[in-house]
Amino acid sequence: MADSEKPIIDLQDVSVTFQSSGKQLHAVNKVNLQINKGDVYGIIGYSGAGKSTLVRTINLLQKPTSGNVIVGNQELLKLSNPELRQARKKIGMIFQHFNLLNSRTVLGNVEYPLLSQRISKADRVAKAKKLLDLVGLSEFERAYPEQLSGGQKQRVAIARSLANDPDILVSDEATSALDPKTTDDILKLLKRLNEKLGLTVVLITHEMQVIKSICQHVAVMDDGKIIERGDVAKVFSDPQQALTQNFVDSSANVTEALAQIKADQSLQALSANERLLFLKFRGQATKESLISDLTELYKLKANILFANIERISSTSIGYLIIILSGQSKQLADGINFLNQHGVNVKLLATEKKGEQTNVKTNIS
Amino acid sequence: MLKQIFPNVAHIWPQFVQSIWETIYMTVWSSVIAGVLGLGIGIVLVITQEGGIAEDAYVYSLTDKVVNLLRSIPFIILLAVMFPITNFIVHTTVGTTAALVPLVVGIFPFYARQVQNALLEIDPQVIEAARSMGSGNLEIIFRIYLREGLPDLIRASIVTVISLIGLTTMAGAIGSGGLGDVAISIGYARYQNDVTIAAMLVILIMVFIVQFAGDWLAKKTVHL
Repeated sequence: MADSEKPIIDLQDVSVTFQSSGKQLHAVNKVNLQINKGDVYGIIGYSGAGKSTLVRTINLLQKPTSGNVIVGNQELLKLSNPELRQARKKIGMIFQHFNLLNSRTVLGNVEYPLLSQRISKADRVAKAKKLLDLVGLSEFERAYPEQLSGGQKQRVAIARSLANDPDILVSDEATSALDPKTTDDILKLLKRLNEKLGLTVVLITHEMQVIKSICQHVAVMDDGKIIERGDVAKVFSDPQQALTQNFVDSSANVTEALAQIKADQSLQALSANERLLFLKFRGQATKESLISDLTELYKLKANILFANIERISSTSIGYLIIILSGQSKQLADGINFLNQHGVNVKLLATEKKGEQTNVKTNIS
Repeated sequence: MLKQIFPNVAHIWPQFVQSIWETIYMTVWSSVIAGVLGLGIGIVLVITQEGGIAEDAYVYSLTDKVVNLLRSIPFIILLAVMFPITNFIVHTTVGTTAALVPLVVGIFPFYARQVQNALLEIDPQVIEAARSMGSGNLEIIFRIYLREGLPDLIRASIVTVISLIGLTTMAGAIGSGGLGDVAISIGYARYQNDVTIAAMLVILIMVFIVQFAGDWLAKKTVHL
């Protein structure tokens, strides 16, 4: 850790193993995770990767099979039941399906965590009202959860999770059941709470967009392990793992575009002097005019089928799918030129199959 | 008019009215006692079952078996079997108070199951949310289970009370008093069909009132 300050969440060698019909399932496998105070930390992975189980160890909703959980300098596994309940009050949690109490009004839901506190009813109501105001739902205090939209329900859940003034907010796929616009609103609210209250936010998601829009750090999870982690811009601008790359690509719609182009027969029927290429530009390369250089220096023509730029904090990643045409010597030189300028070139198709493998070894 | 349609009922009118009160007495008291017992045991079943907030395989399986056992005894046999126990608890084996013992034993396992099913309807994720907020088990029972499950609990209670009214009449067979007793010992034994029919009509009215009041209450507790 670069910071001299101790992390607010420190998961040490945490494993969670489930027994199901004689088999052992390692939902979380020896994970170490440190999250600093005030951070917005994202954990991304596909379903079944173990991210939900992992974050549930933060408040011991899920007891780890082995390992140590330290939150705010407290070793949670060593606490007594009442102490643990007290510690949980400082770790707010929101869920994909909101989990509101349908028998209580919106105000009643926000009051719920305060019912066990020794404060007067007037103070409790005043605090709940203040929290509803914070999430922008003041006028709905008398409504019942069933009367609200998904986004509104999640706002109530957020207000409720803040009732005990937590230091940490854990978000378990909180935006996965919401439409893109509402997702954006909820993320903005989380970011605002992070900035305004100094709340440490831990969120898990399978959507890259969520990580990109509010997280400072990210951990990529697969099969119970964190396979890659760090600063969001760093991890996603230079992915070391195929899964991470996969998230970046699908976020830029590249995966979809590639699939469409591969399925298109007319694009496969190339002549001898054509190459179907997938180019990935990173950082500086996105700012240079490499395509026009190809035309000028090597007399190559580029027919652009797909182009997109993905911005991850200050780094841009450009994607191009092009058909490059020209004389074969110049094609090879041109591809070399792109490689030299830090462009990742992948050959998708040429005229003949035998030739394809040749060129591929040439450029990779 | 009563004399024309129900001549024999008119003849025993004071006894008939008395028997209505006896049925109400038996229904109300056994509802209250079996209600408390059944609610408690239903809660025990829900919280000790696998994945419950106080998971305990031993307590669950014991409770579950006792409930199943008691539920499988036919009520008319239970009445006879309970004789010595009734005698021990209330020091008599006849009359409405004596009938309360087998009535309670006969109905509380049924109600416990109904309570269990009603509480299982509550989304486990809501319970998890409460745990994440630092709620203890008692808080979860009283502030989540009993409150979120209230509409279903009310419906379960209606079904139970209606069954119980039926059981009180069966208790009439062993001299408990009440409308069942009148229907059997007078209407049936003396071939006075009008007494039987009058008893049946009063019971139907009781069932309708319970059903109507229960539905109204249940509706009031659902917030859509």
